[in-house]
Amino acid sequence: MNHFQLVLKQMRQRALGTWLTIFSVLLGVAMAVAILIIHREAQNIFVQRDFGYDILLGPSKGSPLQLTLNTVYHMDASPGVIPYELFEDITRKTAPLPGHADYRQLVKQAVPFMVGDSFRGRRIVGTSPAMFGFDDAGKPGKSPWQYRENKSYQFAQGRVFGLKKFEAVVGSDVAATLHLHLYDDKLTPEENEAQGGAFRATHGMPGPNEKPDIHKPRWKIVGILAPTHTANDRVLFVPFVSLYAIAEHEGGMIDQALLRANIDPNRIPAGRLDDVLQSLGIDPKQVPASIKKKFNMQHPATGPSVEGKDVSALIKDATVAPAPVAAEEDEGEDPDAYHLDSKGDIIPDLPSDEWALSAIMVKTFGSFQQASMQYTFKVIDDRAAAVNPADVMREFFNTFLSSSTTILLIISVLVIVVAAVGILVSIYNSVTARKKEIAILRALGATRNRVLVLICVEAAFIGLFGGLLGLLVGHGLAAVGSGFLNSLIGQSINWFLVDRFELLYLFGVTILATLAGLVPALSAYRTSVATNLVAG
Amino acid sequence: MDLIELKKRYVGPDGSVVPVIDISRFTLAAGEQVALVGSSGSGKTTLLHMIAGILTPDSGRILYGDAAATATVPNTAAAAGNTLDYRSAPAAIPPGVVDLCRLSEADRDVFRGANIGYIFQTHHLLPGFTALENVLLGMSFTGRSPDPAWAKHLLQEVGLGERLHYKPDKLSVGQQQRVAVARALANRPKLVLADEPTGALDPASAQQVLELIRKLCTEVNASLLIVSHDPHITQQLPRVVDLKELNKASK
Repeated sequence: MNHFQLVLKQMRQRALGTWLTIFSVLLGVAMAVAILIIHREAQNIFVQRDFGYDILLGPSKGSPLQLTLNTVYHMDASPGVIPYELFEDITRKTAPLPGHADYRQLVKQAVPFMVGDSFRGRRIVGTSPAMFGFDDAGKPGKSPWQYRENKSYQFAQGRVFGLKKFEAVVGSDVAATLHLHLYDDKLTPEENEAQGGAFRATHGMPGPNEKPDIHKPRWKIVGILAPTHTANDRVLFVPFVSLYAIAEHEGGMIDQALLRANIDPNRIPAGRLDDVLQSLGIDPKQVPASIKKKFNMQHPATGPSVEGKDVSALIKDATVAPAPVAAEEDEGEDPDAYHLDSKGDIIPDLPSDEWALSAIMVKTFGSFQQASMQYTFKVIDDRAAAVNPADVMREFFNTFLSSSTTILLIISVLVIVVAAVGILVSIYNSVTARKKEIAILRALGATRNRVLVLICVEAAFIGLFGGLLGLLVGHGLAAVGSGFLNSLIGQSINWFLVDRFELLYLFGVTILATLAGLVPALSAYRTSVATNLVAG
Repeated sequence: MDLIELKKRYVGPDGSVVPVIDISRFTLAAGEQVALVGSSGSGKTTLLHMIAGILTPDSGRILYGDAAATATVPNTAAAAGNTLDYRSAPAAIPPGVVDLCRLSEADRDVFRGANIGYIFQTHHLLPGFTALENVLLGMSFTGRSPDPAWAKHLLQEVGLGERLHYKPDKLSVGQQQRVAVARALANRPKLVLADEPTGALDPASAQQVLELIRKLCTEVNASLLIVSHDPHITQQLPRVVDLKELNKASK
C-alpha cells in the first residue's frame, strides 16, 4: 500500500467531511474563476481595438459613452439626433457649400445610423446600403464598409435593401430567434407578415405593460446577414429614408408629450406653444418649423389677453379629460406620410432639410485625419460631437469595469482564504479524532515527518481537487453568463478558454491548502505515540 | 536484545520525581520467548515502549544485535557507580550492534518498523482498512516493498484466509486480534512485543491467539516478550520474568 492510497483511504473514511471541505474550496474557486473569465472577456468585448471605423458623430448633448454604447452595442437609449445635412456635408464629393467645412481630405467612408423603432423587442436601425458594401444604387463598392478591421458584412441569403424601398436586411440572430425569412412574392403582404417574411415597426421600445404603437408601413425582408458575432446580429436594418415616411415620426415627440399630459394642442393659443413645450421638457429649438406650423396654423392669436397669461394656466385651459381606452382603439391607422414616385421609390412628406440621424459612423483616412475630425467637432462645428469608440470603451473599462472586477477579485481571494481556513479546521478536527490512528501508524514505523507529509498531502489534495472542480463550475457559470450576455447585448464570450491566470490561481489554491494543512499536520507531528496508544 | 542500566523517571504534577524503571541488565536471546509479569503500575508498558523506541529512557542502553557481541558491552554505570548519561558515553559498542538510545527519533521509528512487531491489548487496527490492507500497512514504513504474498500467508496462518477483505468492524474481537498478530509479524521482525495480547479475549480465544503468536515467532525466529498477568498464559512460556524483581525502582 503506497502513501497516496493511504491518504485517499483516510479521506474516504471521512467522506462527508472531505466532500464538504472540497465543496467550500469549489465555491471559492468557481467564483474567482467566473470573475476572471468575465473580466477577461469583458475586456475583449469592450476594449476592442479593431473597430472598422474610428469616429462616431452624435449629438453633442449626450455622453460619448452613451453614444458608443447605443451605436456599437445597441444598449442604452439614443442620446438624441443630429441633422441629416451633416451627413451630406461629410460625404459630399464636390466642393463644400458656402460656409461649410470641407471633409473630403478627412472622411474615407461614412454610414448613417438612425434608431427609434423596434420589432418584437429587437431594434430597427435605419442606415444606407453603404453599410453592407453597396452604393446607393445597389451596386457593390470597391472597398466595403468594415464593422471590424478587415471584416465586412456578408449575406447568408438575399440581397441588400434599396435605399428608398420598404425593404429590410436582418441580422442572423434576429432571423433565427424570430423565425424570419425572405419575402415570398407569391404570397400577399399580409400572409408574408404572418409567416415572417415581412414586418411592421413598433414605435420606440415599449415596456411589457405598454400598449405597442405599431406603424403602418410594412418592410419586406430581402436579405439575411451571416453571423458577425457582434450586437448587430440582433438588429433589423432598414433604409433610413423609409423611417421618415412614417407619419408619427414627423411630430411624434410633441404628439406623445401632449398626449401624456392630456393636452389638446388645438386649445393652446398661437405663439405660446414654445412655452408649453418647454414646460413639458421639450426644447422648442429642436422642433422643426414644419411641425410647429402644423400645430399653430389652425389657431390664430386670440388677442393680447393670452400674452401675459401664466404657462400653468395655459396648460390648465388646454387640458382635456383622458380619452377612454375604447376610443383609442377606434383611432384607426395613421395617414400615409409619403408617396411613391414612378419607380416605386419612397418620397417622404418630411422635407430632407428636416431629416435627422441618431449618429454617423465614420472611417477617416488615418489617425491624423481622425484627430482632425475630433478637433473640428470640438471647436468649429457644433452640430455634433465626434468620439473615437475605441478610446471611449477603453476609458469606460478602465474607470468602471476594471475597478469593480478588482473588487470582486479581492472578494474571491477572501473567499478562498475562508475556504483555506475551512480546510484547516476540517483537517484539524480530523487529526484530533485520529490521534490514535496516527499513533498506530507511528508504532508501525511511520516517522513524524512522514505523518506530517501525509496530512499535508491530504490538504493539498483537497485544495487541488476542489480547485479543479471549481474551475469546471466556474467555466459553467461563465457559460451561463455568456448566454445571459448574449440575450442582453448579442455578444457571447469565450467561456471555454482556460488561461494561465486560472492555472496560476489553481496552483496558488493548492499551495494555500497545503499551508492550511500544515497546522493540523504539526499537531499530528507532535502527537505522543505512547499516550495515544494507551488511551482508548 | 540487551538492556543495560536502563532508567526512567516521571515528574509528577507536584514536582516530585517518581522513578519508574531502573534495570541494571536484562538480556533476551534470539528466538527466546519470555513472559514478563508484574503488578499493575509496575512499569511494564513503559518498559515495552522504551524497548520499542517509542519512549526514550533517561539513561542507559538498549542494544540490538548478536548476543555474543552485546555481551561484551560493559555495565558502565555499575562500574562507575553512578548514573551515566548514555549520550555522553563513548561508543564502546561493537560493530553490528545498534544502541536504540543513540538513534534519532526518525531512525528509531524506521528501526521499529523494520525490526519490532508490536501487539497491543486491543487490536489497534485502522478502521477504514481491510484485514489484508492492515497487514500491508504494517509493511509500508520499512522502506522495503510490501510483500502481499507473505501478508496473505500470515492471514491464512491465523485462520483468516477467507476474510482478507473484511474490515475490522466485520470481524470478532478474537479475529481482530489475530489480524493484529499477523500485522506484527508482517516484516519478519527480530523481536515481537506483546502487551497483554489476550487481555480482552475469552480463555479459548486467548489460548488460540497465544499459540499463534508463539508459532509465528518461531517460524520467523523472532524473540518474544509477552506481558501478561494471566497465569494460564505465562506458565506456558519457557522463561518468566517478574518485573518486581528485575526493576529496582519498584522496590
